[in-house]
Amino acid sequence: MKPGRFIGLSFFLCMGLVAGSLIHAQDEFLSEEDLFDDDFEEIQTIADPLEGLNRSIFKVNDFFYMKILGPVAQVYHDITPDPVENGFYNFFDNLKYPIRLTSNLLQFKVEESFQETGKFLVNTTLGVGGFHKASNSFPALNPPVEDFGQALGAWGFGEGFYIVIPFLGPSNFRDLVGRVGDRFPDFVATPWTVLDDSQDRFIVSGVDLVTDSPRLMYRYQAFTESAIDPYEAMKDGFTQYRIQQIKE
Amino acid sequence: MLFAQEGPEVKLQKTIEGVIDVLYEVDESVTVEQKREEILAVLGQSFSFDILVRRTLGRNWEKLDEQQQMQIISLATDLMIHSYTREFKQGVRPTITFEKPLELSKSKIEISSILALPDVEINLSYRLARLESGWQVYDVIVEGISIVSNYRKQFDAHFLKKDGDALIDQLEAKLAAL
Repeated sequence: MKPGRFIGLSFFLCMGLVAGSLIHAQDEFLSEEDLFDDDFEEIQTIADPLEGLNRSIFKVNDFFYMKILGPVAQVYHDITPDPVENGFYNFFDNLKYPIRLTSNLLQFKVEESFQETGKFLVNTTLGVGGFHKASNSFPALNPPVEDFGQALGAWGFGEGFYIVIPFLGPSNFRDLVGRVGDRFPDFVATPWTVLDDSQDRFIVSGVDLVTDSPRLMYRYQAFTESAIDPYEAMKDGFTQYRIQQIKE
Repeated sequence: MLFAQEGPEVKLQKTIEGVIDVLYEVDESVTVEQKREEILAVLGQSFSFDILVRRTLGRNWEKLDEQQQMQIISLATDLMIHSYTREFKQGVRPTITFEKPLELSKSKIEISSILALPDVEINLSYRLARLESGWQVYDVIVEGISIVSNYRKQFDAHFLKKDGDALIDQLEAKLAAL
């Protein structure tokens, strides 16, 4: 081949490659229109046959959260030094270890079961009865939080329909059953409680709620504050959150 | 220059740090409106609010006239910024750890981050698309909950019974109450 013809051929070959890569690069860009309506096929909508009743309970709950629990949470937060507030929260969280362990075992999550047990032992001993979350210093002792509702989800039970539980908030049929299941390994709740006296159980549950209240109110307000329809925002938020938890 | 271009994760990280800088600015003379403009300008480097708001409206976009569309983009942008920046305003400046981008498709990635506050960690993920203008955030996922999808559910429910003007009134009332 003559040198001139070789150069010419190489030039056209190179131009062809450049043009090809430009077309390829253009293909990789999306237009704004491409994004307006995609990805939504994966989003799940939960059935809400009890919407009228649910909305009424939601209103009552909202009143309870904003007028009673919210002010209680604010006072508790204001008068309690942060380390003490966190300490009580950690203590009650540590007590829920049997629920998390059982739920892991029911899903055959052996590694996570060991992690939960390690976390409980470390927090109970080094963390002085669970008041200090000593497990935070051990990244391996941080498994996802599990409950019976998630175990049911992992077994393939669908979420059923949406339910707003008085005072407790958003749920679905599967998680309502899960809540009943969570009571069995719970130290405090019946039927297998370590507290025989119902008044003691009421007081402990009340203190647990108060210690948890600043976090609950933060999350509740995060949803309702910027929502144009707080009921729909909560319903969708809860549904997405539970799907994500079951996936983990 | 092609080789000097920073990756989407670096650009996003700079944007988020920039927003936190504005939020924790202690200059008393800066008005709320100035702060809003600053946040919008910083977020605009990585976030496309036109896309975010259009995605929340979905098919309801066509039910609005041009003026309503413009008004709703502006109002919903403010509401989304409030909803998003709320996570950063917890009294103590948070630290953020970004993970490596996860490729969702040839033109889409997800960047996860952990926002660490004194007593809680929040998982925030950003979905970005490659547009001709660069990588732009088209959804934010807070603790597994997509902000876009959450607003979309609310807007869908709204348009079942009400119209665009009612939505504008509601958005204005909500912003006034914040």
